[in-house]
Amino acid sequence: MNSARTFGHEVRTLATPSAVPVVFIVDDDVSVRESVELLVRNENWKPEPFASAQEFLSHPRTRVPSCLVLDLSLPGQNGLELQKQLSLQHIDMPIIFITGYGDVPKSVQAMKAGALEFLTKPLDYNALVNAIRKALERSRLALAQDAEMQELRTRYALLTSREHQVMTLVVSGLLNKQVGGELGISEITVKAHRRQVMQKMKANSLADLVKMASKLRPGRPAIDLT
Amino acid sequence: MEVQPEHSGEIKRLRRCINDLVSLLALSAIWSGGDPSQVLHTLVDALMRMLNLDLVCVRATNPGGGAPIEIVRIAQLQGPTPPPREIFETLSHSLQDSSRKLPPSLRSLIGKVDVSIVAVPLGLHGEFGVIIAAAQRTDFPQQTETLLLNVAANQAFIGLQEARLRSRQKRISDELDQRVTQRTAELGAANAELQLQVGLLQDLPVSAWTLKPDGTPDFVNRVWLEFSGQTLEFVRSHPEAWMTAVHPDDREAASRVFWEGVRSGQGFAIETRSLRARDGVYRWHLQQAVALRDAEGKVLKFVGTTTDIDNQKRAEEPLRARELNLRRVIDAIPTLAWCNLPDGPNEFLNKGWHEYTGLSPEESHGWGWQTAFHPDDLPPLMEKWKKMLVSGEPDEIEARLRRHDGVYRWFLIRAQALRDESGKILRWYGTSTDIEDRKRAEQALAASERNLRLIINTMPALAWSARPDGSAEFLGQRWLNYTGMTAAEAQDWGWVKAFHPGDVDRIIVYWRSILVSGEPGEIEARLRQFDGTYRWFLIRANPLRDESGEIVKWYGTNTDIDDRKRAEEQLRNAQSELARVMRVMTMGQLTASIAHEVNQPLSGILTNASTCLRMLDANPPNLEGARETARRTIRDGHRASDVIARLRTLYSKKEPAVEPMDLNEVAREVTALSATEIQRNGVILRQEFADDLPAALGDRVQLQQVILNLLRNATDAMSAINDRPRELLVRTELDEGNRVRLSVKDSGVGLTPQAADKIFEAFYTTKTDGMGVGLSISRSIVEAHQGRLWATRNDGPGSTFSFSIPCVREGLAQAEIRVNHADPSTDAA
Repeated sequence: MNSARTFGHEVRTLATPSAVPVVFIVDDDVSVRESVELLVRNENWKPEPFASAQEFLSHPRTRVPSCLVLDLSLPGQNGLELQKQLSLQHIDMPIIFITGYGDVPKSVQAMKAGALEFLTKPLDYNALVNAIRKALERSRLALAQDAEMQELRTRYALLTSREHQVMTLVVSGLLNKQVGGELGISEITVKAHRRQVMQKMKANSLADLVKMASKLRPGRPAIDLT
Repeated sequence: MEVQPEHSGEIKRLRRCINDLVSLLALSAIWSGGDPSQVLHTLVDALMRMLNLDLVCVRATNPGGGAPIEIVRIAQLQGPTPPPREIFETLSHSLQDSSRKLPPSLRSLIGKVDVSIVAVPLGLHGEFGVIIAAAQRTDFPQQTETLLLNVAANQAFIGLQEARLRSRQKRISDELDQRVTQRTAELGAANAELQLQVGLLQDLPVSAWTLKPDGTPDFVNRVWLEFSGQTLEFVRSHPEAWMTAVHPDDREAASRVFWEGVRSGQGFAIETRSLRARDGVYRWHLQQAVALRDAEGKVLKFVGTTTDIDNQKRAEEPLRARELNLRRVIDAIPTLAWCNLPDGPNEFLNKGWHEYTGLSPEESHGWGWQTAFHPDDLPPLMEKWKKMLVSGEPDEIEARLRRHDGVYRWFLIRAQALRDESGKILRWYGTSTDIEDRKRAEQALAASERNLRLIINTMPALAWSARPDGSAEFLGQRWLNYTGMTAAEAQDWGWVKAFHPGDVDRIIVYWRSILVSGEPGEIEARLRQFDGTYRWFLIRANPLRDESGEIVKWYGTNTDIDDRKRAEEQLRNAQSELARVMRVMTMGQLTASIAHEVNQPLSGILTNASTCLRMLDANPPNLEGARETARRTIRDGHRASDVIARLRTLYSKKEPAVEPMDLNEVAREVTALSATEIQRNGVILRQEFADDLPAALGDRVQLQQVILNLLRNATDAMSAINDRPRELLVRTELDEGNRVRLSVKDSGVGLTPQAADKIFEAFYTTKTDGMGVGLSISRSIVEAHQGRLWATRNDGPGSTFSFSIPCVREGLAQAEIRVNHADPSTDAA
């Protein structure tokens, strides 16, 4: 379970655009699980079938576009719980719920929690294929963003602590002079630091740097307008 | 000297005479101590010699008494000599006339001889006899010769006198001697006697003693001394010395009686325990003394004995105790005793009688006692009494006797005749015993018997009793009324005919088993009513035992349970139906889950079919993939079919079928059906099924319903649990007593003690949406399988519900299980 909880943080192989997308299938019913597995394979994706949430979580995976076909009612940890756990672990994997019951409250709950699709059994071939395709596309996007973020973090990690301070104050809209006053250094020194920051972050402009900073600190407004 | 012849002859004669005289006088010396006869013989011989006589006779009285002494001496006479007697006769005759004056000489003839006879008297007047001398010579008696004869006579007289004296002395002496001897002999004998007596006294088996008038012992024989170990000196030292051997408890009384007896001179008799020195044992003795008195009545001595009466005393003790006891009993028992004359009137009534009735002896005398009896009881009493007087036989009667305060109490009066040797009645002796309490108890008993009979005959059960061998002894009136049988018909084993033929064998077997075990028992059977219809009865039997535990009787009741039985059947039917409805309801609640169960393979089938089509449509067609997909489709189709088949059995209303079955398999089918539902509720189901579980006998569907119910309850119990895993464990195992057990363990809210008591009751539920019949029905199902269903609280959270049912035993014919439906055989008329 420990490894499962840290899913996504251990494996850091960079995605290659040509990689075959992986479709994870978690359903305890062998008929459903294997039929979906055949469907995925027939669409030239790579199926990864599991009978329970635990099995799925304990399985290491590569950073390729992927999605999860998840049965709502599973023995032990059920589908919604698995969804919640993945979300808590910032694992952005598109989820297609499948269920034998037309359970409206649960489907609503699943959708609110970010489920991509909610399909009822028996599954329609095309509907499932479309859903998977959509999910994989989203996954691909997410992966790209993730790669960008990763790049930004890498760049940001190259800054010294003084440069971190300078960057934070600069993107908050302060002038060099103000930054120097804030940090108790000369304006010229601020300028030199700022130059270093722009260079290391590969920012073409201040606006670019501000965008990067906002990406690095999600949840905070990109620009403090005050 | 010269003498003249004449003178010389004279002198010679005189000299001779003098010599003779001297000789005669000297004779007395010879005679001294001699007897008279010897004196006279000596004298006669001397005379014959001196006087040259031819004959001398002496006749003298015997100084010692007796016949006179007669002596005759005869010289050589010519011719025959006559015997002395004749000579005396002759001489006496000759001398007769002269009487005592004998002539100085006499001529007489003795025989043919002529002799001169001289008789000289002895004593002054011849009172002592006479000496007669005779000689043939004619010169006889010369003067000197006469002198000599006289002297001789005097000498003889003196001698005789001496002899006489001597004789008398001797006689006195002899007499004295004789007397002395006699006395000596007497004394000797007396002494011997005395010795014997003393010896006897010493050796008597009783102690003998004498007391001085002041009470001091002076003689005590060996027995006492040996017994007490006291010495004679000690006993003699003080009048009470001997009492040191007396038991301390007896001493005071002994002393008192002793002194009273001694001082009054009356003697005494004392019983004491005295210590035997030899072994320290006290033995009872009787000391008796009588007074010996002199002519004036003064006490000389007390003579007494001490007799060991211990054995008698000990023999008496129980007797005395018994007597004492008897007397006490007689005193204590509330019995009035009396004695009547042979013709009926009373002679004696004891104190108790008088005290009780308050009648004086004068009032009750004769026939007066009649007034004490209750007027209603007197006539029968008198009638009986008169009969007894005639028959002389002992008899008894009960009658009320009036107490002094006017209250009548019941008495049992018994009388018996006392007869003499000839059989004639002397007296009638009788007792009157207060039996009021008994009488009341009898009346109460009679009342309670009446009451009991009433109860027996009115209670809604048929009462009966049977002998230890099982045969009927008594059948209550209601039994007889119900069956229409007579008591005679039903007696012994006749009652068997009253039972339904289909039940008889079962009843007999069961009844025999009860008789053998001696335990109470009950059985249900159909009993035929008088109209031929049968009704169900519950027959109960209880043994009655005596003090030793032996069964003396069986008591039983037959209770009509027909209505109850029918109600039970209806209930069973209702329950059966309810169980089915429940099953359907449960299935209804499971519908979504079951639909899902079917939907899963269906979903697989559809997806596979679509995939398969696409594989075939591909260019080139993916035949291998299509084949694999088709195979899976078929598999999924079978899966769906299995689910449907399982559902069908649960929904069916087929008759219950009892058959050997594998509990694991039964449980597996149920968990397969409910797995989805369980899962849907977030419950983790675990199964631990024992290997090699023996087959159990039961109805598969009914047991599956029970398991389903338990699974549902367990799932529901965990629905509100969020802080811990919802775990459900289904386990099968071999239970004790050749049974198999299935348990369902949850980690739910558990049972409150209040709920634990009620959960098996119908319509009790802890759920908001439950009916409260599931467990009730489950239990009735399990119990119909001769099984048991129970609940326990877990050590951890939650509870465990288990049931166990018997296994099929080797060689056992399929046992009859009263399953949860109406048995056709119970549809009695």
